[in-house]
Amino acid sequence: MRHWFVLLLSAGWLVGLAPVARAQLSFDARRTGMAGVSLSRDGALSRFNPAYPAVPARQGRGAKVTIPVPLGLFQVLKDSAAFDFNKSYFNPIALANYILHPPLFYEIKKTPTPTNDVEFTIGRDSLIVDLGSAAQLVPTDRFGFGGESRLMDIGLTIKGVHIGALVWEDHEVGFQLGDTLLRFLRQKAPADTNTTYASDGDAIAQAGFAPTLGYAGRVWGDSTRGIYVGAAAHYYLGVAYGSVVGTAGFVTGDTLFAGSNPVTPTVDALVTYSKAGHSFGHGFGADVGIVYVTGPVEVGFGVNDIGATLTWPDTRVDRDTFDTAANNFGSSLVANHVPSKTKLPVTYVANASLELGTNTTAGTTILNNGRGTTIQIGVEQRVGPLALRGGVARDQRKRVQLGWGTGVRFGAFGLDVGFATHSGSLSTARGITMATSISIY
Amino acid sequence: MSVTRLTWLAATAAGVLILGCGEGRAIFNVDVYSFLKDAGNDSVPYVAPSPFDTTPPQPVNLLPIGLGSSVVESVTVSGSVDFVNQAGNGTVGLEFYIDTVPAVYGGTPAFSVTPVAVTPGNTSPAPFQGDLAALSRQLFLSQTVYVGMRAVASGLAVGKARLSALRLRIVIQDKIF
Repeated sequence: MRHWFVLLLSAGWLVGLAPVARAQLSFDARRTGMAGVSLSRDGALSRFNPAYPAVPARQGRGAKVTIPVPLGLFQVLKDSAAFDFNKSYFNPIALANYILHPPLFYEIKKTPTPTNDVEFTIGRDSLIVDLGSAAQLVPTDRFGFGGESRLMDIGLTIKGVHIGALVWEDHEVGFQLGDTLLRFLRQKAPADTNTTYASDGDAIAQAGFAPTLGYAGRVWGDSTRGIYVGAAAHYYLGVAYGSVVGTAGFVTGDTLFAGSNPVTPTVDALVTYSKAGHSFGHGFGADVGIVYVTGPVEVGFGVNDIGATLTWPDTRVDRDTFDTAANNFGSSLVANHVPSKTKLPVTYVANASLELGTNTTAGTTILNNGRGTTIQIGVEQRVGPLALRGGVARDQRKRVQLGWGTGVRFGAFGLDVGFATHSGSLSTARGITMATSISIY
Repeated sequence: MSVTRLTWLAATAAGVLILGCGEGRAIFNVDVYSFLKDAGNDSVPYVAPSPFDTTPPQPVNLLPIGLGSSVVESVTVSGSVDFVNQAGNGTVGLEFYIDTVPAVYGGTPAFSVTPVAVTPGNTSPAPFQGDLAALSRQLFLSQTVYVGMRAVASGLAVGKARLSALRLRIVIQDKIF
């Protein structure tokens, strides 16, 4: 049962997150060893900069195929703490970390998960929660996750003109604990009577497809020195969408642990949705990019989803609340058959690389996808068939991460290993991942 | 309390517990005395050798986390009782009865305070501490337990046992899934 669960989870990640992973997580050990930097003008750059399909691949640098060696899956299969639900040592935080960080690669140093005691102090009129060291996991700022993925991009390219369609999805979840709830959970503040403990939250999920017309080509210069531009226009057709914005929590009564109602739920959320099979959302968006190459120097800049606002012509808006009189959750119609708008986050990417002429290549990538900026700097030194790599990055949570690795290449085949530090979403400590991949050149 | 509200509170409390679980334990420090005192059930009279008086079973609300399949590793009782003796000489002790239903006095006491000697017009304090009988531990996986007290006196003595503190420390190996 557990093995099936892991396999299904992994298959879901491979299918659903592959496009994202190519760009951000990387299944390529070479990139992992350079803290995420791509030096080979591969799909990672093309995803965000539409000029790159026109830039010739570096001689002998870009792999035709890179196959990750998923050593991490074997490790996950043995991790009882995450999947043995009925055991006392089951740790849902370990499971959450797997969900947030696909375990394709081997974790040589796992992000430590808290296993401390939780202490509740209860009196008739008092309640104190001591989460111990786990209290540091309670987010003080707005906490969220999400991403926009282009799950599939099919089409035809003739003389730089690309006609096709892409399948996209976007999901964002965020919440912010209220002051009283934050103090209660993080600072062991005693619960008060007649007090609201709540969190603001919002979430959106939308998906659809987009017919695309694009162009990428060199507008100046030659193959050694030139300027390449690219642009793509997307007509977004949204198949389904749902969003929720509101507040949820509980209100304490006159007495905490006496009487029939110690707490009263408080929920007030606005839910907006358009189901699949209903009317399509629609809107225009565009990607633009430019790359300048001059000998050993290369600089690129791309912007995705400019002005990508979708109008959903026929949506329903409900207000979900907790009805204290009826003592249950209720939903009331606010409006039906009304238009609503959603946006796709604009993504910016800037990159540069430099061939130093001593078989050394250095590069940097700056990516902002609406959820924070990541900065990656990496370098590769080639010595015969051997390659040594290193890098440093600042992740979305503004933490410094390191990467290092090596690789060996024999003819058309290369075997690479890369190490990278990372901070778990639910932990402040760093772990180390070892990525392994095989490349065919 | 309605099921809906219970579910809501349970989800909140379970979320708190999830944050710190793993191989950690859930520990509940319950100030039982605060429940008894508020209801006026913090003292029980005794008239030895007449039949012993009891307090009305007092409900003590715990967190509705849904710990049904968890294991209560230990329950430690600590507190203090003052035997306020009005007249006579003898020995007086105190028994605590705990159950998940109001009929708490049908079984054996969950914990007993060793009897102390009492003298006319004097108050005899009796601090106590100990572990709850193993059979009573699993009761604390319920959302509510009922607590009752019975004074046990011998000799010829009249007075009342007045509780001044009663705390339970419940250590649970939680399994909330």
